[in-house]
Amino acid sequence: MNRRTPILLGWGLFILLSILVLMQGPEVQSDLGQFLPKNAKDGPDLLLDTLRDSPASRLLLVDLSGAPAQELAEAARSISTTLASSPHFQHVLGADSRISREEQDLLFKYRYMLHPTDFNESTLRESLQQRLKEIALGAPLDHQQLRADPTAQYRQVLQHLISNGGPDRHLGVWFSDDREHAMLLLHSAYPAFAMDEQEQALAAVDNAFSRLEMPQLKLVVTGPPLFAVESRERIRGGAQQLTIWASLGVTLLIFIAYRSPAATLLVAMPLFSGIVAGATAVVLLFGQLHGIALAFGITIIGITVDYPIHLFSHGGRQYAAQRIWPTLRLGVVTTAIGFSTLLFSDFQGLTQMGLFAISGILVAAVVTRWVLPVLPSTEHTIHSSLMPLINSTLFAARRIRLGRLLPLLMLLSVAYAVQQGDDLWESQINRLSPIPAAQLEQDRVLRDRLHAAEPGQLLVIQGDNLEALLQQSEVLVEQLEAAQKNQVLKHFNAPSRYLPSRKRQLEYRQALPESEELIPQLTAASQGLAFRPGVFQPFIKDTIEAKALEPLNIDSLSGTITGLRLNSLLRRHEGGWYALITLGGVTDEEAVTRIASTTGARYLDVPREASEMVKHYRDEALQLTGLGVILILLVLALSLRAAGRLFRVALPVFSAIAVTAATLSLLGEQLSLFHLASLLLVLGIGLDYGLFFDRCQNAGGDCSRTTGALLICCSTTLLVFGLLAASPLPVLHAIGLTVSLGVLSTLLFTLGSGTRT
Amino acid sequence: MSRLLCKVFPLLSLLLYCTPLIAQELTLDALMQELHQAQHPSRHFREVRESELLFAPIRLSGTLTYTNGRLIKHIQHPFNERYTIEGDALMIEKEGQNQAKRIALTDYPPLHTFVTIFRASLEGDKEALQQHYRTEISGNSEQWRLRLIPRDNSMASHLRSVDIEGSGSVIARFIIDEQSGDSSTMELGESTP
Repeated sequence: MNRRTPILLGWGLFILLSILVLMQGPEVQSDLGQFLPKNAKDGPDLLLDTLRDSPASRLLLVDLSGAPAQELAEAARSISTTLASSPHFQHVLGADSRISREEQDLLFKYRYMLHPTDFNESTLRESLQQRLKEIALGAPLDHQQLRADPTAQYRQVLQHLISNGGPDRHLGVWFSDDREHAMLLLHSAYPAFAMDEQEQALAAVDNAFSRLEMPQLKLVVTGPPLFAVESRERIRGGAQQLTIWASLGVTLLIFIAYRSPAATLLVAMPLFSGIVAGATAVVLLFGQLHGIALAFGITIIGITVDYPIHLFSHGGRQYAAQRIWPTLRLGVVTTAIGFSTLLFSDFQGLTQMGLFAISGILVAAVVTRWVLPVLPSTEHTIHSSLMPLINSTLFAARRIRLGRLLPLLMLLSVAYAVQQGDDLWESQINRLSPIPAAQLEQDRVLRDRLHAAEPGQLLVIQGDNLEALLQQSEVLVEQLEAAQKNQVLKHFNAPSRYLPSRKRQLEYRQALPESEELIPQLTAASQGLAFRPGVFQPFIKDTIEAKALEPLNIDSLSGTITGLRLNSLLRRHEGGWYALITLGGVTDEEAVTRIASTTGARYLDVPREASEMVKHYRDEALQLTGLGVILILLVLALSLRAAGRLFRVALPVFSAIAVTAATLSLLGEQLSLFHLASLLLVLGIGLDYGLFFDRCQNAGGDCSRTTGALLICCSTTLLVFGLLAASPLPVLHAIGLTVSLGVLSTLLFTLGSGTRT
Repeated sequence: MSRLLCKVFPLLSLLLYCTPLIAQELTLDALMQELHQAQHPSRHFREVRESELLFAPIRLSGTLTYTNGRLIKHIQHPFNERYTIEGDALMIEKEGQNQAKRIALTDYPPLHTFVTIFRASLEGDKEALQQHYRTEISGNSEQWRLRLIPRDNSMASHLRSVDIEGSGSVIARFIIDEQSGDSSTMELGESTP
């Protein structure tokens, strides 16, 4: 009794302090970017930066249909107006989002710097005739503007800035060719992976739509931010349901096994302590906790439910805890070594997950060893009605003598896996994407309709300063425009389209005539035309003033739509500037690569580079895991001090892992990092099985109680991971299937490799 | 009794039939209905446009065709260009250029205004007219004038009024008065063969 009080006080204090830390700690993070590595293999993390936050990854595509064009246009305009003034969007394109008066004035003032001119008598005459026709048609509204800009230079500047590859306009709104769909392009103010913010942005779109009160309209939204948010929702929703069912199932199983409500509570205690400890450790060390690390961490620590089950099967008292401690400790240490490989990961999310798992498992073990035994009513035995079933299982397993076959099975599985080579591994990230294929297809259709860049292909250029970068961009634009004519690609966007280099602007300025040249040219050009004399005085004045203008720079564009678009294509790094040239509808990759190599640009196929990166990290993970396995075997060998026992403990679980990997491959699954992490979990669980079974064999017992414990452990694990395997979400399915197969075969192999007593 | 009815009825129906012809007051409804029911053949037009930017008016002539919601303004003099307006798309075909240029009609607000009014009056679409304009009608069915004054400010900032004049179901001219002082008068003449 006198030991119970300080232990329980200590435990209570630990839980209380942890909860206090967690309450002080920041909110649970949901930025998926943390599951991307910290630094790439070579130099600046440009690709990662791009993956994390490319301009295309912020785009939301909006499609309205289900009503006549007139109504669709009105709806699009209304949504556009609402969203353009919302803080969630940088800009909204598609429904003539009118640029501000200030920006219009700025662009008008600098019209001769932003677009080339070619003033001579014949071009001027052509322009004047064109203006006459427009007057005849009643087209020009602003006489003042016409007098200052008879060559419609400003209109060309605007067309160049605004049209830029968008679809046809109809009623001032982007429409599909069949006029059934009105479309908008929203540029979110947040990176795609900033999920909470993106969720608000998406809600703003829905609100703007429902405020229209036009139920006949159909709204379709797609794009990376939506996918990120929906994936999270799906995983969260799926995981919530699974958690409820799994908890109920495990509680029921424990109750059936022990017929005691107290047992079900006690089983949950180490797990609960482990979760609290894991979360606290991550918050203390990283200052934050990622939602995915939390979810997967809990899944991993779920194995600690096994610890009290082992304790009960040995009597549940203080002496039982003392007796099983060496075995439990070895199991815990080897599991922790397994997960410590995650600590060295470049993915901060995975590092968090590793820390969470290790500290959780350690604390759960400590609670099982010292806290549980001092609690009242810890004596639980497996209900006697179950013993015949357990004994016959053990008997059957021993009769099969699977143990002899294990080396052969393992050899066959490894041979099969080696023969599969690279096919064994999943290299496409999005294969595990929880987004249904139909939705991805819809995204592709919308993108095509909108001529919007896929978040896929980019050219990246680098420069010491913005000027060098813009000049390089200009060279590229010329080449890409030529390539566009040869059907190499459909469309592209480059920073120099929004702001010509200083050099180019000076060339444009240089090309403007002096007034003594311009005035006679203009007089000659208007010969015989009906324009009143002197009507173009403002034009002459503006041209003279433009000759003295300093080139437009990026700072004067701040706060304008043009500036926003320009900045979305630029990245500033310590070493200088980067610019992204987004490409759409690339049909001839070789030609694009050629253009890249001649212009010093780097061609990035983001999906391909990403899968390369995944391969790289998988190889790294495999190496670390290999190292972990050697370390585990070393620790086991040192503790067990007998080759025969080491063999008996390790062979079943390693065979099971090999068989599981081969079976998964036979089932048509390709292995990903998630499968690998699941196999680590199988290793941890399986070594526990091996150690406990070896322990009773070594002690010469009849092993029926240990077998009972293993069967209950395995049943709870199978229940939880079997539910995961049934999930339609690829990630959860992968984890569930791997762990279920792994744990089941480990149990069979462990029991089957036992010696007859 | 029945004999009397037999005598009176033809007289009565004749009277009823003739009533619209001798009506003094023309209503917008009646005009709209009449325009709507009538056939609108392709017609020659002459247009005179005066502008403060010009010392002499521009004179255009050509043909104007309206069928099934599609309006074709074919300018034949002083240059040869064809403007086809269907829905809200404007297609411009120029002599010597084989590729037609497509523009959204909304990019040319004054032309848009004209097309909307023209289309609505030929279709007899009273609602479309009254949605954007105050209407004033004067004259009789033999010689009428429909004046349209824009309701909303953005349109009123450039357009003062549009007068449509005609006789019976035949439109004779459109007169557009702009706030800038510019104006245009389009006379519709003979129907084209």
